[in-house]
Amino acid sequence: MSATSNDAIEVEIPPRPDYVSLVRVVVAAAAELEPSLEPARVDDLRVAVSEATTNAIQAHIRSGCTSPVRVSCHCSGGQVSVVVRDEGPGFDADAVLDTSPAESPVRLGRESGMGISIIRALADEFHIRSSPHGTEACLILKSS
Amino acid sequence: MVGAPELRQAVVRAVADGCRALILDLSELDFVDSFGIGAVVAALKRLRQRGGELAVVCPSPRVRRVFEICDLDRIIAIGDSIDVVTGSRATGAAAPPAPAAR
Repeated sequence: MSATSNDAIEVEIPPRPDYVSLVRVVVAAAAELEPSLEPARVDDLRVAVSEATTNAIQAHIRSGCTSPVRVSCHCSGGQVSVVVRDEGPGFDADAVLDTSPAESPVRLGRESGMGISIIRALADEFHIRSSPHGTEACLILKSS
Repeated sequence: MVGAPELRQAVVRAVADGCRALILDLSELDFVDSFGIGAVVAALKRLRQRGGELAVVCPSPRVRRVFEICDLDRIIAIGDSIDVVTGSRATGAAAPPAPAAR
């Protein structure tokens, strides 16, 4: 973990699921230094960052990539921005959105793939840039 | 989520032992993500395939919020206590389970 000259916190983790909780703790601790960010927003951040980091780790695992997943966090002006970068094969974020009703058998058959929907619901801004060489997920949470 | 694999295994065992009505008590849970949600969906699916049903005790607003984002509150009875989800008390946020399919 390191702090850069522009006050960003950067974390590199091995692509293993047991490191998600570490990222969650680091990012939440950094966010709590931003005084105007309410505790409920920090809770939202914990969940959203977990989902983005999990997606990145899964992308590495699926492709056999052993490079670290990189997470950077920057807090200022009442908002926290987090960027999660992986070197996986990329994906189409719009394609994983499921708009079928909750009661439908299709939805009941889905035990995974809800991470993007959760991030979109919790973050004030969420952007994905994905290519065959990797994905960069940027999420921003602001004080209410 | 720590505990999701254990939850999946526990549900498999319970259903194999004949359980058809399961209450999942998440009272001590203060965090859930899509891994945990996936485990709950798996439990619901396994029970309903055998004519059973699942209810969830979830007093934590932050945990419940994730359930609501995933619309699980529309298909699972979720309440603040066991009394609420079993319907023995009139108050609370539990809703009757919806049919598994339309």
